[in-house]
Amino acid sequence: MLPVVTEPRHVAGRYQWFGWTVPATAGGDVTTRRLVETHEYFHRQLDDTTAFGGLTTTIAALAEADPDGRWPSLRDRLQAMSDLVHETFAVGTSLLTTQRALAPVDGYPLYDRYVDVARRVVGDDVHPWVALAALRAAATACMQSDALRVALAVDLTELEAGHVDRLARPNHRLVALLAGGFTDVVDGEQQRAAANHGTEAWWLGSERVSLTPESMDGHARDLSQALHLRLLDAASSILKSAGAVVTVDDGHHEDLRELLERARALAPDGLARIGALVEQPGGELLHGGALDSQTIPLTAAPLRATVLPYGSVSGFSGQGDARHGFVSVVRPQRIALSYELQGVPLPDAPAVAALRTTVFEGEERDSVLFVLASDHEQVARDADGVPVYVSVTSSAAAAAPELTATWMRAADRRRLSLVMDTPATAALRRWCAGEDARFRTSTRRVAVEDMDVWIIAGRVEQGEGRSALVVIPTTEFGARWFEAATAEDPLLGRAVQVDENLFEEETPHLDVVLNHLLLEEHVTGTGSWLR
Amino acid sequence: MSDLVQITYDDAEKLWAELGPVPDDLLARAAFDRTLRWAMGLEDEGLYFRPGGWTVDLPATVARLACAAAILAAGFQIAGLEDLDREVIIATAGLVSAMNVRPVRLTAGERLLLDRIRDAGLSEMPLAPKRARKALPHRVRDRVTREEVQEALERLVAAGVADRHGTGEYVVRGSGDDAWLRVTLD
Repeated sequence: MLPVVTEPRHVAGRYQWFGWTVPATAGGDVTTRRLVETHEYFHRQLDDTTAFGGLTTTIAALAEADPDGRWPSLRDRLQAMSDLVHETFAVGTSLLTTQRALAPVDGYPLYDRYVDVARRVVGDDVHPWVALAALRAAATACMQSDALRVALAVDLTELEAGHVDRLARPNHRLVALLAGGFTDVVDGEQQRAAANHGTEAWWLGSERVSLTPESMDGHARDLSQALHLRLLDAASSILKSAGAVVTVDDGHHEDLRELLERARALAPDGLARIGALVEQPGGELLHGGALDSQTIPLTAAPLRATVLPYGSVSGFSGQGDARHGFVSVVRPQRIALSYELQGVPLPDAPAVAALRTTVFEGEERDSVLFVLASDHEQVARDADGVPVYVSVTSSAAAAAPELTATWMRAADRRRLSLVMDTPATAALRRWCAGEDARFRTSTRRVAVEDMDVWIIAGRVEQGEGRSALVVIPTTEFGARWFEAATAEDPLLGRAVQVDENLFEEETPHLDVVLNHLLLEEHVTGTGSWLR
Repeated sequence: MSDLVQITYDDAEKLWAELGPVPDDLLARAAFDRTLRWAMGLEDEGLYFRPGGWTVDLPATVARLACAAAILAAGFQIAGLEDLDREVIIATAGLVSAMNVRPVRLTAGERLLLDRIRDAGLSEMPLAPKRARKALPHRVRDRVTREEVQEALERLVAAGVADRHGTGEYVVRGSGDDAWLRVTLD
């Protein structure tokens, strides 16, 4: 079956509660790629910052932990209660923030309807500065229902879709908002904003920039926030008049913590969800950003892989001066899910170390070879002076701390990398918590074959100590997000030090790591640990 | 696999334009889309931002079933039955897809009868054909029999703007209270 008609210049994205998937495929229209990833990001933002999103993602986490149980069906029911709000918000806000009109997107006809709904919410001929605040207010009011409270009122194992009454369902709330005259409220704000700011440069914009960066900065940002709050108040009043409950601000956090506690108790092996709440119990709830969510499929790696015991073949790569060993420490599931496997079975262990290389058939990359390695001293002896690089994925470090620590301690720090395949923001904050800690970093776009990947690389340095080379594979959107997070987050702002020389300094190391990563792996990104 | 038909997203738009309620109902349309995608096997976990539309080749019976299920899901949504299992909708659609589902289009005469009954304040009360006939203007009344009025009332029932009441009587629904879709057996 070929369900989707796709033109090559267009790009598809997918959001799945814990994060999103966007292709690394280069080419295509860069503005469309930005639109697609911004769209997926807004899905995540809406789920991470609202009561109904908290309920859905918690049930999604249970569905991940117990896919054969009752949870996937309940998760899909909850999603069906909010899909109209989700798509209207994601379509509208992604269009506005990528400097597009609130109008159908060429090549994406399935979303014309959501553009239409977004226009029904904000009205026609509304300035994007007002439209953005209005869409955010409407979606937030719709998602801030008492659904979490409803879920807590029953035994979680007995929670059913029917327990959530109509006015706690975001889609119904959106209809109530439209019927209650929200669009007229937006129109009033539009008139007032045009009268007050119509001659200001940040409002006027230019031919190509309708929503100026200045309109989201300084005084205009404060005005935007005030506008959002007024519209949120208005939306809440309309919903309350219709008989709905609206949860204020972060008032749902306590309920969400309680629900997560109950959910954890139902998942014997723990919840798959890694979020700020799980990493910082009782701490601030942070919503996940681009560096906590991305799954980026890669297209250059061979489909087949062979796993062999140590000593049966060499497992080293390259020739002459380029000869090296590349030890990859990963969870075996990642290998099993990535390739058509042959050879010996993978060990039944939380993580596995293997010399990894590409097997060529003439000029063609035929398959990937994993030579299982359990003894780092043996590998060093067999290297006989040839450099050995050790690359650990962050999910393997979390799953098997002792095994990974053994390899990391033994490795030459200049040739040791930690490739992030789990959420990176909270980890960076943790590593840089010390007063004198800094993350010396640089970001580069790397184009290999038909792929376009952005690499944030850096080392955490504190006193005389320095970490492995931290490698965060991302997209242009993720790189920009990291820049913005660094500017806005006081801790990251203090600790992150951009050093444009870093890539040159680390060239031989990065050449090896990125070649193996981009040409031998099928998926990367800070959300790819789920794969 | 034989007897394949091709359905595209454009066909779904046309189906909705033909059978969807007027004015458009956001929740019903969402239910229609969701169910159609699922019944045709397009549904996958998560939310997407996908280019292009979709085109599916399906056996004719499956296509008919999927379309019936989507329309039914929209109807159930309007009727306040949105928590029905998809499997129940599909099972019902299996029955319905053996029938013809289409909106009944009223003739000018039938529309006139409906309007006159409502204008005369005779809606929402049991009404025999004889009484209904009296609601018609003189020039029309003289040209139609009581049996023809009864046939017209039956058409109003089929169109979802009236209901049968006991034997031989009808209740015309108030304006704006129409049943959006009524399934009939041919």
